[in-house]
Amino acid sequence: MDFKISELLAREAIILQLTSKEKMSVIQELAEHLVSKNLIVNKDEFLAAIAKRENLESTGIGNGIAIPHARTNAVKNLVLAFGRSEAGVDFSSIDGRPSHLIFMIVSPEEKKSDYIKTLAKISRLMRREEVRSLLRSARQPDEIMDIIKANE
Amino acid sequence: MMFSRILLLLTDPQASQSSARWAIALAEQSKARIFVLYVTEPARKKKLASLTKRDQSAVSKELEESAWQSLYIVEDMAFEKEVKTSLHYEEGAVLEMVIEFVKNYDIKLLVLSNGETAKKFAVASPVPVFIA
Repeated sequence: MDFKISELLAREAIILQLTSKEKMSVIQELAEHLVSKNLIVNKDEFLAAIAKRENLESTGIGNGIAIPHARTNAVKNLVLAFGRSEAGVDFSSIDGRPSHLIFMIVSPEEKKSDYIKTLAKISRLMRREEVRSLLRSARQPDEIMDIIKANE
Repeated sequence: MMFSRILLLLTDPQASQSSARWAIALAEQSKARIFVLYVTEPARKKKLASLTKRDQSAVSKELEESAWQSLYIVEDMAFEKEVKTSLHYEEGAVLEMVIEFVKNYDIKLLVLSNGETAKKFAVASPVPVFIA
């Protein structure tokens, strides 16, 4: 069964102005936001799963995009969060550029197929410069959702 | 022989997991990093659109999503073995893309699955080739 990113991304999972400047702080900021919306069961386990992957490999895919991701039973359902950083955050991207648009994807262990599909959909969408540009200049969370919906 | 940087070339989702297993095993031994590169040739998109009588942009979207799924499946396999990866998707001529990649990322070994593409690289690759 196919699904859309715009259906997975809730308005309350969007932070238009991340305040953190460093990679793990950004991830923590996004996680705190999800905790406050009851989307995470166990925050420490959640952060440990993301950190494990971040320590092994770069989730900065280039062109100012980072997609930190993990599978963990610290969430009951697939969770997608979006954060934007004006200053940019170092996610050790292969192109050396800081990341301004961050999509965090976390899924329960058993939902591997949906997790992989979500990662694939976002990666494809973010290859497009026009979409990245629109997301960088959006002024409201609803605009972020509309941009994704119109382009996916 | 130790290879610090391995390029795993994918051009087909079906064949990717087999060559990925070999690349990961080699990387584990060498403590190497794997650059996973999926290349879609424009001719393939046109051919598929023509065969299926579908709009080329819809076919293009599907092919790219399928490619990214293959990339993330390989990443997941490598993660379980604590092997570092970076994922790359490109469209263009496979041989040219690989040669450019080898040069830009100082690749030491190319891993790919057996097939038509492997025949091209057996003679043209600038680095050693492992055909899985």
